[in-house]
Amino acid sequence: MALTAESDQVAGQPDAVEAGVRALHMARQAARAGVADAGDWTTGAERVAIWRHVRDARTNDLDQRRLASVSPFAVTDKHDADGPLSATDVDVVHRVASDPGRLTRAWADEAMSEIGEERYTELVGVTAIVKTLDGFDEVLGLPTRALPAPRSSAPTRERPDGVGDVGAWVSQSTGPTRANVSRTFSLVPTTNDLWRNLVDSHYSRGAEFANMSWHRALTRPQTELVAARTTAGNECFY
Amino acid sequence: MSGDGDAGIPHGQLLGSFSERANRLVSAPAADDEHEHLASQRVQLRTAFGIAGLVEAAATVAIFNGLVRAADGTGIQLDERVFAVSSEFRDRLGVDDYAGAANTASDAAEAANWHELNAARLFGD
Repeated sequence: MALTAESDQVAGQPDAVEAGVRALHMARQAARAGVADAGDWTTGAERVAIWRHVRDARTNDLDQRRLASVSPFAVTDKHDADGPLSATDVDVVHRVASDPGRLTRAWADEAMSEIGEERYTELVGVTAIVKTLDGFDEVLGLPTRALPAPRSSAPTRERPDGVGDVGAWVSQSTGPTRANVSRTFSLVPTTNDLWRNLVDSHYSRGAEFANMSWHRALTRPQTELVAARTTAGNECFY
Repeated sequence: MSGDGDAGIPHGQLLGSFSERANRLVSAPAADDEHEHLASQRVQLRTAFGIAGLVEAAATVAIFNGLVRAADGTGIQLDERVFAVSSEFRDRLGVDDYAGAANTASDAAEAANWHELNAARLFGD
């Protein structure tokens, strides 16, 4: 089966289901455009380069050797700098994309000492966004989309107020939160907005998240089964 | 962790198998026979749930591939209450052996006593 777009062929579904799929489509369009634009600490050109490296990490020889190693840090070879991305930038993107379950705080601290915690956070955020965008297409058997053309706007390079140490590797919002995962990228608001819109449209859907009964094509337990199998496959403790 | 049971959920076996196969594809390119299995399961999901159900399943696999990278890349701690109530099944399923468990370990003793700590806070001790 080949789908041409995620919003195709949903006419005739109950309204709430159709609205959910259309919201998903809109959020994905916004994310694709947003990645091509500047973030808070990265340019559009850097973000599109990140996307290209996330794709490369699925087959990259060094990443595959790290994956096959007992410890990913036992392989001493390093990634090279590439265009607008430093060698450390590229290393962060490849490790987060290819082997997120075996990252360590010592490694992250070293990377942040070189590029800064704001840029580090934004690299992780863009990686999470584009992995979600590409992953959806891959799972549905859709063709790989061309990378977007980067826009020329400049990053703001402004650290938001109200962020600090809440126990994560990076600073996050210090205000009340329902779950730590909801403030993951609060240090980089532009990327955080794109990310939270994706999470909302792909899974949580605002206030509906608190309901155990969802008006979707899949029930809540069916959705949580898919989520649990996916996180287990990635050996994610959180 | 994997399994071929249905977890007591309608179409659970199909959803679980699809999720594992789809997740492997997101991590790395798949062989032709894996693509064929996944294509077959997409048809089964569409038959069972309609096109919207297939899209929702794909969206869930996709966003959780982003969420695991967000969580592990930023080293967030497991929320205190979830840590406390999940102790038994984390141990049974081997989840405590994941490398990311270290991000929460520093607060493990406190979180393990979550109920007592909150009672103490409640009563001002």
